[in-house]
Amino acid sequence: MVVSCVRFLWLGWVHEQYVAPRVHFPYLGFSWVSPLPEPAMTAVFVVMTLAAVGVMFGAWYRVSSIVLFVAFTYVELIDKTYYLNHYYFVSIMAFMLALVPAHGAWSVDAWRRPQHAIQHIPQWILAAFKLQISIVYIYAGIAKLTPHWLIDAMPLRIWLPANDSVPLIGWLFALPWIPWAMSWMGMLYDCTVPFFLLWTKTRPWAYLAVVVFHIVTGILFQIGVFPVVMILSTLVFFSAEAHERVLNRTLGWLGRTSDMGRAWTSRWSRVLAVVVFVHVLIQIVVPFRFLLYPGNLYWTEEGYRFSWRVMLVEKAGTATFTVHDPITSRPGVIVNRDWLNTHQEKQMSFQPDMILQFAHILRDHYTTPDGRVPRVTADVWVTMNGAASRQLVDPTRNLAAEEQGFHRYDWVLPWE
Amino acid sequence: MLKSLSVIAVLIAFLGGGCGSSNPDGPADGFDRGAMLSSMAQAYIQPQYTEAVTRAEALLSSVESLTASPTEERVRTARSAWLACAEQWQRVSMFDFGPAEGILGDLVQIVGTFPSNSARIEALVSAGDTTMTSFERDVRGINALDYLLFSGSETDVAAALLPSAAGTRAAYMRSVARHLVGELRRVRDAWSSSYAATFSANVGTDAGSSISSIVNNLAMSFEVVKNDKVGLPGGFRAGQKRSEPERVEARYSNNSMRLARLHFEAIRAFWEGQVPTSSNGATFISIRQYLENVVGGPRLVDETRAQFAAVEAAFSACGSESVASLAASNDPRLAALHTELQKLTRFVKSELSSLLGVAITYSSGDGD
Repeated sequence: MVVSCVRFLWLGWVHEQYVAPRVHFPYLGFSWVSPLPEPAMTAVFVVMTLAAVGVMFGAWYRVSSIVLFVAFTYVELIDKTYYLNHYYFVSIMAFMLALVPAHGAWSVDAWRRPQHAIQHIPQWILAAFKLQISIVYIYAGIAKLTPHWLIDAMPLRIWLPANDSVPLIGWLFALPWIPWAMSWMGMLYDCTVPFFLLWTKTRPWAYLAVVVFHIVTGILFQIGVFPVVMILSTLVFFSAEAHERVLNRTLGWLGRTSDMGRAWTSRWSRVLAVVVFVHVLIQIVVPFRFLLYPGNLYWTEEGYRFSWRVMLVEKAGTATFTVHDPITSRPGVIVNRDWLNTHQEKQMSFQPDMILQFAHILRDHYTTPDGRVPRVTADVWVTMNGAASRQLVDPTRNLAAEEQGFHRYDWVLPWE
Repeated sequence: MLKSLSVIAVLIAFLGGGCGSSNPDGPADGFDRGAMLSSMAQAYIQPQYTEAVTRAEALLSSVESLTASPTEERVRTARSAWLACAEQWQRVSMFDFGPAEGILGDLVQIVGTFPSNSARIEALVSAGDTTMTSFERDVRGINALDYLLFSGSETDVAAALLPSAAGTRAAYMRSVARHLVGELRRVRDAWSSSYAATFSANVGTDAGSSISSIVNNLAMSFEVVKNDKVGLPGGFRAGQKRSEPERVEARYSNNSMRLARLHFEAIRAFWEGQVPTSSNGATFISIRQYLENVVGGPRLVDETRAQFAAVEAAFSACGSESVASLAASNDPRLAALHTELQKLTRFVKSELSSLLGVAITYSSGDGD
């Protein structure tokens, strides 16, 4: 987290993603979330960094963990352009960490106030973390049980040859059978690794697989901090004794090895258990919400996010919006770059909900002072897994008049 | 147990930084991107930049002789040197990356901005300001020379350059031509001294790789033709109430259609692998050949070629009329050209980068 924040600040992404753009794409129901002007936006990232340091060292842990969760989630809610499953994962982890006492030992807080130090927490807290990580893997695995992934080896057949220049192993990716092998391995890995991690006997090997898998995907794809997040967070599967052994060996000189034997108790623990239980329940149900929508999930993306569907499809689109003058009906073409940064344009061009949001942004901008509303139409061509582009949106529909919501968008043309 | 949790806290708190870009070290069994890149640099990009410098130098020397002793004959010579230079500019403007990117903007902004701002140019001429350092980009470059050399008859242009007329006009014209030569030389020299090697060695497909620069800039340059050279003068953009024929490239020499078409032709030729100025039909390893080696590529090649042909036909239909005159009369042929260009966009923008697996932004993709 610390490194991630510093990376954001260092690369100027705070400005580029949250301050510079004219418009943003908030999530449904979160349109009230908006970015702060500079320098406040940078300040948020600095505070987030400090909070992450606080969580890491268990310093003023309660405050740090809550600040980390709130700040991180706030930033993510500003613009869905930057939605990533691993950011969602970080938000969830931060939320869970804010609920539980992870600062009882090996922490600044325990050193500051030894009388509050704790050595034992209920098993269910750890189980909740393990379950959360297992959910991520298993849903990612289930999502790979599709003909296009397993039989067509798409999109790996596009992505792997593009990586044939990677040092040492690059030549592998040019081999014709490799996309199939890696598609099946990826699927089997995601579906089974949580179980092998849970079982003591296979755990070290499973963890080795975790490390290798995430390092390889990290080299292959532009996926930022994700590999590190997963490699480190899966460590929770190891027993307390194993962690203790490692910590004593490496940080033993700090002299805090004794077992003080105090167990965590809280009058809130029952409430907490309920909250965590409800959270896990939501986690299990939410990825299945796509069943409520007809049509091809990968094409319409209705119910796609927050479901651990990661790196499953190669899509790109070209979206051309036309605003028809409310008085003269004169059509005028929008140059997306005048409104959006490259990343926003790229994401918007194949995601129906963002297309509608952008159409509404344009509608509001070109509405006359006396309230006459223009028609907004969109000519959107999307390629999916290397297939010829097809039209995603009915080009005759006036998107200015369509509502945003969780209902099915009938102006989205079917893939079939 | 609690220890484990502490460790998780540490871990979550310590998400490491970036996947980093791979440092590729050579070709593999598949398509050889390194060979394609060096072929592009050697057979197309560098010779085209060199030609641009040569033509700009010829323009400069004709401007120098014109301003030294203005005659109608010398105006004619300078005008044809200008056209040769403006034509060649269309063939390099799509390589607006690497050395073409500077702190003060990229080469297209610095020497290719249009339309020129005649009022500001006249103000700078009157003030005798030949520094070429302001942030106004519409007072310099190819289109400023279009104004200075082509506004009025040959007699008018020659007369305005006489020492008795103003004096400072000649100095300003020379400065613009020198600035143009200097900028083109700077980029050409950077390519030949070191950038060509850097370019050819950066064989990855991540954002910032050479193929990513090529694909991105090809699409952006194409959009300049569609949005700025045809769309804006035609009045096809949102918020425009009418056509705006004065917002064309090469307004005063009335070459807006010729240059827009050449610009398009240059993009098509580069995509296809043809060297436009070559007499012997020289070729190089092109994006088209790369496409033919990837899944779905041959289909995209066919579709792109078909739409290239449709755009060619729409250009031909416009005949010898300039963009400005078609725009002024709201000629439907200009709208038809804009529509065909619009249809081409997806083939050179989204589908191209998607099939090649080329990253177009630095932001992270979704992880697994």
